[in-house]
Amino acid sequence: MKIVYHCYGGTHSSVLAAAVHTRRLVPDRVPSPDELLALPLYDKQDGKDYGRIAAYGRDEAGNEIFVLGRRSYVQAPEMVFCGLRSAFKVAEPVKLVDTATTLNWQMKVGGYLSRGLGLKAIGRLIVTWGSHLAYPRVVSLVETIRKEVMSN
Amino acid sequence: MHNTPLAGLVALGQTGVFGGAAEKIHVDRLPFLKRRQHFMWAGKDADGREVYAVWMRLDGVILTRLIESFCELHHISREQYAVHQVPNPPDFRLRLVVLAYQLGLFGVARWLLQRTRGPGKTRVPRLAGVD
Repeated sequence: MKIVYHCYGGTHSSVLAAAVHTRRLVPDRVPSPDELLALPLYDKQDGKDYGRIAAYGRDEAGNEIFVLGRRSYVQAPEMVFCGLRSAFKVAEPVKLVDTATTLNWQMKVGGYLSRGLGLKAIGRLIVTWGSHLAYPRVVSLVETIRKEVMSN
Repeated sequence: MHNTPLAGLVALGQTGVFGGAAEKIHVDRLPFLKRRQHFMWAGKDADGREVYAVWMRLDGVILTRLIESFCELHHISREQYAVHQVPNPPDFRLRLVVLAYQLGLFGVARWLLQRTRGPGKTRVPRLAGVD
């Protein structure tokens, strides 16, 4: 199965979720800011990447994990993918997971400063703080998804 | 594709649903004109190609990328599909229809649409065309 974690920019909460899913980050320990910033795609994608799916690896069951930035169009990936699956008669399901539910204001503000305004020093400080705080929620979401896909 | 249901009308125009004697659009018989977002099959064009329409309040570039991303994900080659953004219609009344849709005035848009075409008047899907 293909699993796509999506959020506004495809660079913070979705990357965190993908990293937890693929076990680049362990679920039982909150990563340090350096570990977060060393993650592939973390605080790296911007406007030119919106709408593009980026591969993030596989989980132990062989499911392919992707991240996607879709700006504020939460329903867009679901509607487009559902329509295209039907159009191309694709049997393989794609699981779309909105990770924006795990965001806190620190991640929003930090992400905007870093990716939107280019103020990386202050932005990254705030967004890693926010990621630190949001980590348990991200882990909870990912574990729910993992259980769901593993049981199928 | 478009950010209004005009995409649906254009797609139906490509498949020949509108045109000639059948070009009169009965707005009430086209429930998709009420939908803010939709992905629909419009039929086959004269060359036998499947035609679909998709519209939603979304940046056209992102919508295109989403389509391309899906196709890359499933190894669907560029030869198997083409994405066309519906350009702004040249007809003034149709532009009003689009504006009404974009402002969220769906009732007004459909009311205008009902009065936009007619015998000897604008052929909606044809003039809107695709690029």
